[in-house]
Amino acid sequence: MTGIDVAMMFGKIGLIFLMVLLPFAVYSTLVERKVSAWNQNRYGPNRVGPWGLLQPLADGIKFFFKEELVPDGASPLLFKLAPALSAAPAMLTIAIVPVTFPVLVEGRQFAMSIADIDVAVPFFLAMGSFAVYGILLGAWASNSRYSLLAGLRSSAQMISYELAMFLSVVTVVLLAGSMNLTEIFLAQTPNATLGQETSGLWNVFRFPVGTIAFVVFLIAAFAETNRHPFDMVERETEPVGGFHTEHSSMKFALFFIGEYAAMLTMSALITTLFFGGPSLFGLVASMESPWLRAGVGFAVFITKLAVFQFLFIWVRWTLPRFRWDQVLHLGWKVLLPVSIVNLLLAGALVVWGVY
Amino acid sequence: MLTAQAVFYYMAAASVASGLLAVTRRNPVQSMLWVLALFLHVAGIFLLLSAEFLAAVQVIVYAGAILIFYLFVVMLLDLPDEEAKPRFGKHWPFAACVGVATTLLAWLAQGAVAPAAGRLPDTGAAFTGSVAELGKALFGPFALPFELASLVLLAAIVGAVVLARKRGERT
Repeated sequence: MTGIDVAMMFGKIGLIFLMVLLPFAVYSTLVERKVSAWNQNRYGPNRVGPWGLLQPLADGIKFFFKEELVPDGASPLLFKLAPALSAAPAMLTIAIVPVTFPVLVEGRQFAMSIADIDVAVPFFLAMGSFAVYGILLGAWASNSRYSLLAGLRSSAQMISYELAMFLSVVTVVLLAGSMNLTEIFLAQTPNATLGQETSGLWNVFRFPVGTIAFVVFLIAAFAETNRHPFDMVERETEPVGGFHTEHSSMKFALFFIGEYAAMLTMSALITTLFFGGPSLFGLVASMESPWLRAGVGFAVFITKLAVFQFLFIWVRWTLPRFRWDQVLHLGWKVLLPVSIVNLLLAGALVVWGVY
Repeated sequence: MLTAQAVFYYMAAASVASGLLAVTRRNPVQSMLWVLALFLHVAGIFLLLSAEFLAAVQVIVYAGAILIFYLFVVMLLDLPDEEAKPRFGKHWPFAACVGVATTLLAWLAQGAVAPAAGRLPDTGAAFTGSVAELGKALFGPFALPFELASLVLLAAIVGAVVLARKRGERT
């Protein structure tokens, strides 16, 4: 560990925190409200700042000054811990996502993810399964039946869709031959100068297995983040406000930020696993200067990220919700068998050398 | 090395402490959460041994799947009623004796089985704990035990389905 390592580490943390996590997690709330307004032929928030751009700030101030209520019979520690537990896994997962091409500093290559680990995929899966705790504990600690009902539903749903998600990620691992996310996106970059001989096709275009894996992953991502059409945790008509019915002030806001951070993480992973991360059909990868390549790659990555973040919001205001039994039916009887067969097919194709 | 040892002793002490807390809490949900702390600290010990994949699997399987299912069931229980009942069954001294005996046995046998026990392995030595090596080991020399273990798990799943089905019911 030299000085450069430490400097690069803090540089990457600063870059990803300031340029990715903070703007996306905070401004997604505004984008969500604007997009919903456009969908319903309204204006949306436009009072605070130009085009309502300072609305998240106003929301934050309001949340801080709200009264904090802890219901009777709630278990106080878990009640307060739950929002943090639901936001932390999503924010931790962003650490493994490479935001751009590796850069050269004093002759050494640095992968542009905060933690460039070889077990990135298992780490993501572990954090994904850990995310259930925040919701389940928040629901139980509220000592409210509506919250508990929503929490139980969400845990059942998240466990069901996790399996299909795991299997579709494993398909990508098979195609790339690595569990390191930097290597996975480099395998989708058509440029041999980066030290790898690859076909350079984005995984989503590797018909049929890559495409099927993408569709399964996308559906499971909606379910894992508890977004429409899978928002069983907070469907207003049944369990009132869902698992966070009893949470007020900043605790509620933290649940909210956790949801947007989870969407951001899922968008980043979809971009990296299926859409080549920062690469753009070899245009970026063939640039001569490594720093220019990294800069343009970062812009490409952010653009793809924004597209998928928008997709999450777009779907929410377009599609109606599933019924509860339909959710479980889709998870266990459709997505799981499809992804198992897809995984076997991918294994066979890789062994026969098609990919 | 000193840092690694300090971290190891913290992980070991915290694992034992959370295990003890898990069996002594009156509230089942609190017990579950101490078990969660135990699993996470054991995952930390795996990380220290540079078995990163095993650490991730520990969190995915135990913390993410099994414990969630336990919590799921426990949250549906009538908790005030559960808390009023005695925490330990009649057999607890026997169980404690078995636990202590197993620990003693492990302590006595450590020299015979693994001469290097008690020392942290050098990272980057023969086994680096990488996923590729683990896969080769599982499907190479250890293929038969691996397949046997999966058969045992399959039998358990089938057994659970048979038990869950009501008598005479057709599916």
